[in-house]
Amino acid sequence: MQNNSKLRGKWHHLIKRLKVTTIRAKVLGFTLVLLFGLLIGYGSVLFVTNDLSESFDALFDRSLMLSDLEKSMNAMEAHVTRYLETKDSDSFVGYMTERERLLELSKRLKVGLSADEAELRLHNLGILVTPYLEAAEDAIQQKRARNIQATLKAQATLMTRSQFLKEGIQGLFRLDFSKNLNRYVAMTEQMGKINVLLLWIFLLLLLLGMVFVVDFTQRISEPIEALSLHAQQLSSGNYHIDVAGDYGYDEAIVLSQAFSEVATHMARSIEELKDKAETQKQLRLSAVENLRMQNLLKQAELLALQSQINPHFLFNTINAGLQLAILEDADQTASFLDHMARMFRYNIQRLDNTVSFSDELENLKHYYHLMKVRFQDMLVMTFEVEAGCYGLSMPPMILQPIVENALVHGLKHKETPGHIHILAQVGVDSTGVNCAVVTVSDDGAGMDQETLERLVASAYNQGIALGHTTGLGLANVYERLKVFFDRREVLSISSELGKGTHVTLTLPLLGSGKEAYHESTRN
Amino acid sequence: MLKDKKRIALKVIEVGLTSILAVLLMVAFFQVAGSANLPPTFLAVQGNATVQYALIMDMELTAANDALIDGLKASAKDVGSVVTLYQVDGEKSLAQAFELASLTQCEGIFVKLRKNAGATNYIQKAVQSGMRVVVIDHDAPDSLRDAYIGANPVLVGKKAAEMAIKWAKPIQSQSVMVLLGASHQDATGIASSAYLNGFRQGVENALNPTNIEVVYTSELASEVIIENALKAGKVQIFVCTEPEDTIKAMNVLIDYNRIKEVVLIGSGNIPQVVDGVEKGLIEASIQVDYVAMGVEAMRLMTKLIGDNAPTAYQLMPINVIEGPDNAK
Repeated sequence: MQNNSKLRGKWHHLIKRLKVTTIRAKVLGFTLVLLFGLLIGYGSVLFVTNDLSESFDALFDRSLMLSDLEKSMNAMEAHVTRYLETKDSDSFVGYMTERERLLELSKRLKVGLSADEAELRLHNLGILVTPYLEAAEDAIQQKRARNIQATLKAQATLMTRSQFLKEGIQGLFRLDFSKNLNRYVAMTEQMGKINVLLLWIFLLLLLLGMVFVVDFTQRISEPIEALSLHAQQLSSGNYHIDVAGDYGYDEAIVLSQAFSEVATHMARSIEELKDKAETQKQLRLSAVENLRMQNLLKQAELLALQSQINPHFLFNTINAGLQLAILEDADQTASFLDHMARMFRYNIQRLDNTVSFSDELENLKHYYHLMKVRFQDMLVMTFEVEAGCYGLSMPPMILQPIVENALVHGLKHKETPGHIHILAQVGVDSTGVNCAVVTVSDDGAGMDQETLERLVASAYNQGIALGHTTGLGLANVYERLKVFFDRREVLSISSELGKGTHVTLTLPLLGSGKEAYHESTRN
Repeated sequence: MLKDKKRIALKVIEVGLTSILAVLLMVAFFQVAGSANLPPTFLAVQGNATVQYALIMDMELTAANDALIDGLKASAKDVGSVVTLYQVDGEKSLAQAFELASLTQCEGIFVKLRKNAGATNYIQKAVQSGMRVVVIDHDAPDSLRDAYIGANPVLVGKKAAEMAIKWAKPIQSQSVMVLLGASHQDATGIASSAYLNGFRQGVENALNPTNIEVVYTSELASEVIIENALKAGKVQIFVCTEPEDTIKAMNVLIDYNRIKEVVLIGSGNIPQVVDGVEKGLIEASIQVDYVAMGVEAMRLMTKLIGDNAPTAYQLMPINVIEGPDNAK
């Protein structure tokens, strides 16, 4: 069992190794196929041409041999004739030489008794050489023996046998010619067929090569094109790309996987960088806001310092005045100075302090007392405060400047008593956050739309609009609220010409009470 | 999707081309291997026979001669011998043939001439020089030939006569023309005389009165002979001794549209003659199997070479091929 699974594992491994999945394997595979085809083609041509060459050699081999035979016979006969005429020793030597050559040829001609007509004829020619040479030798011997008649007879016999041989040679030439012609035609036909086949094979190899090249280049370029497209997407900021695809070879798969991982890493890194940049941006903005706030505070302090001679001197002076009023039993004056001292004490605090809404209200009431002395019945200020608002944390000197504005711009020229109403309610803003919604409403002159827009613009554009008592304008109030609560939607103004103005503060609560408080302070 | 289709198409083309290539490579391989089937060239086949015989025949090759050669060569292969053909057309070439047979160390000679008797002297010399001689088809009784094989010409003639009688129309008098073909040179030939004797004997008693005219195709072409005879309108029965003459006669009769009027007795069993008989264009054909004769001749010679004493005179059977009874 174990052996079987081992074998199976080895077999799978072998199959996997043999699978043509890499570029190298594909190219190698195709090259081998091409080479194999070319080898077969070349081998076939080589074999056939070799075979044909041998055949052609063989075709003429016999003819050459017969031709040699005839030449030797003629040469020998010439020597014999000359010898018989002249007994010339050169002729005899020539005769002997040709005789030897003919004997040698005779051996080659005797190919054995064959059923093939041509070969049988050839064998017979080889046999006939012997009596032919015997006749020549007989003639020579008779000549030497000086037997003229016998010599002539032998010579006649030689000629007869020579004629037999030559007729035989000619007959064989004719026979060979027709056979060789047929053989040549057959060989040429076959060669032609093989040539046509080889042409087709080479054309197919060429076609196959072209198809492979097209397919191969496509397979190589496809994943690269896809990857370059994805790279473009990456460069244009799209990091969420899917490079999965059916690529025909391992290298492309590896590339696409690596690319995908790179894209993922890049996306992650860029997200991290974005978060970091956002954080830094927030920090920068916060720092800028802080700097602005400090600047505002410093300006406010500067103004406050400019408008105040010496807070200690002022306190001491006011307290002195208070003491005097008490000594002189000037209760009203003592009360006035008391409210004034308290108000000034509140005013000179650092504007980056945090106070409660109740502190602001307290200060506002002191202010009201002071203004009441001045305006008598021409000014009425009422308070309507929900208990949940008292705990609101906020920066100081917010309500007084607003009420001051209402007094100065709204009620100053009013011929009838003016009303300023402070309404504080617990609500929820548009983002769902619990807020204290504080509205300072007056029934004064109001503003037209243009004036309102200008006021709003100046408030929102961080203009240093000077306040009347505090030197703190609406812009300062807005900026400090914006920084304190870290939101822009903290102040809104609505007004109608001739009817009054409403300034609404929407201040997020960080814990609140629930009691409603309504106080109308009238003298 | 389009990309996938393209890829599949390319794959299909690749596979298709590779398959065709594989097929062509196999065909090329077999073509190349088949080049070995070309006729062998010189010295490709070494002879391995042990005995050579000579066959001396007339220059004119007839169907009978072809059949005889086929029979001899086929049986020669079986007994490890070869036969060299010498064709003669006169005294000189006859002498040369016998001399060449001797010079090429032939152990035996087959002689089939129109007039074998004319080679008597040469046959005798050959026998005296130690060669065995078998005479075929026409005997040379005065020679020292070792054996004779052939059909009895008298019996052949009688058989031809029998067929002539059988197919003759029942008219008052018959005129018969016998065309002696290539194997019959002239009236001096023994075989020719014997044949004619046999024929006459066969005819005389059955067809009366009968006029038998004998012509030799060596003197005049058989077509001309037939044509003249038809024009004269006197001959009712034609008898041919050679297959070639039989076919020529048949064609002339067809051309003159005289098939139904005239009886044709032929010779041989070559395909055209057999076809003519089957179609009823030839009434009958007297046939001697020359292939079998060649085989028997070789058998005789082999026995002679082996110093066995075969029969000196072997007769071949005579066959008749007849047409359908209601042919004409």
